[in-house]
Amino acid sequence: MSHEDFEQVYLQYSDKIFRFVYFKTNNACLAEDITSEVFIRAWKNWEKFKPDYTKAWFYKIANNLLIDHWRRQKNKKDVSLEKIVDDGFEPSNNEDLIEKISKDEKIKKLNKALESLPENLREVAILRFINELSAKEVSEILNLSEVNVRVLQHRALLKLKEVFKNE
Amino acid sequence: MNEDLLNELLKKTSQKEAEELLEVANKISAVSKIERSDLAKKTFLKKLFLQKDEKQSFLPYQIFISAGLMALLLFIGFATIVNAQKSIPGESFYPLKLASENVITSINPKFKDEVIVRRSEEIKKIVEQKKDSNLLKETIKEYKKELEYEERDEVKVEESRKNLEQAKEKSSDEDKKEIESVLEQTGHKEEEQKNEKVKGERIREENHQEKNDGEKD
Repeated sequence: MSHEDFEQVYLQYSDKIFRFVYFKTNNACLAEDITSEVFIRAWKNWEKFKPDYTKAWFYKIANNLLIDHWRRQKNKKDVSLEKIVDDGFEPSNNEDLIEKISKDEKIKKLNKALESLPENLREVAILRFINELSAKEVSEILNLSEVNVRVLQHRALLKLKEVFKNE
Repeated sequence: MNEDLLNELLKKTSQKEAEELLEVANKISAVSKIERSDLAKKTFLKKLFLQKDEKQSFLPYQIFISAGLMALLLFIGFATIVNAQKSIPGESFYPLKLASENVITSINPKFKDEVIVRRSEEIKKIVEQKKDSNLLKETIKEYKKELEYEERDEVKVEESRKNLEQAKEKSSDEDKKEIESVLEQTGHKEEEQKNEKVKGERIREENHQEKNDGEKD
């Protein structure tokens, strides 16, 4: 099996997936774990999906893992970290990054601003402005129409503008 | 992103507001450029590929082990069946011997003649090994059952009788009576069958003679 093509894809998308999860959860450790899990799953199914993969595929896996995580949190079950460890992966050795993020005031402010948004606006804001995906790509990931995505992005920007103005 | 977003925003709002909103979007984009370290990424990839390669190289090994185990099981099974052929009633592999006889007989009915001889050999071994009399009685019963096979080979029956004669000489008084009884019965049956054969031949001769006489007339 070819490692090179998967490596390319990983290097291209792993930071984006990390950002997506981080700004949704405001938890860098969790974001790192879920990013790892996304690519472990992607690698397991790589031969099947390689010909037709899209960016959306990775974001969808990440979204599903987040939903699972929240469901487990609600039922007070184990966090995904244990599963990753069981798969032979140690917890993130990205402590420097995690520390840097936690100390960065601008990132803190952005997180606070995003948290003020309703969930549907926040998701669109993260995918459109942080991950710089097109409206079409966002519509695929969130199963919305492109028109709907444009409406939501507009509303998100209006709200964020107010939040930044009040700071 | 900028051009596309601006065009999208312009569809919904004025130029000024669209530009302000674009500025908000750019601000968000600039702040959020988080990059994970190259070391972390390379470490992850190394572990990921190593795990899959180990699993893949294990796979032919698994197949090899499975095939080997299957061959071993087949060999053990075959060896067991072969060994079972020497077993006698009361031994643990005896049912396997009977089962294999049934299978062979269903394919080749003439094997029943061989089964007659086998039962007689078992009787001989039970006596030699001084096994339980009840076991001997049971085996004699089975032997008699096998003799009911109509198309039996008389040569094989004679061979089986010789085994019984040998068993009789080595057996206890009680067992001797049992064996003598079955020899008598089989002897009578043989006598009956011989007589039937002779009678049949005489009738055919008489019919042939009548025919010839008729033609002469």
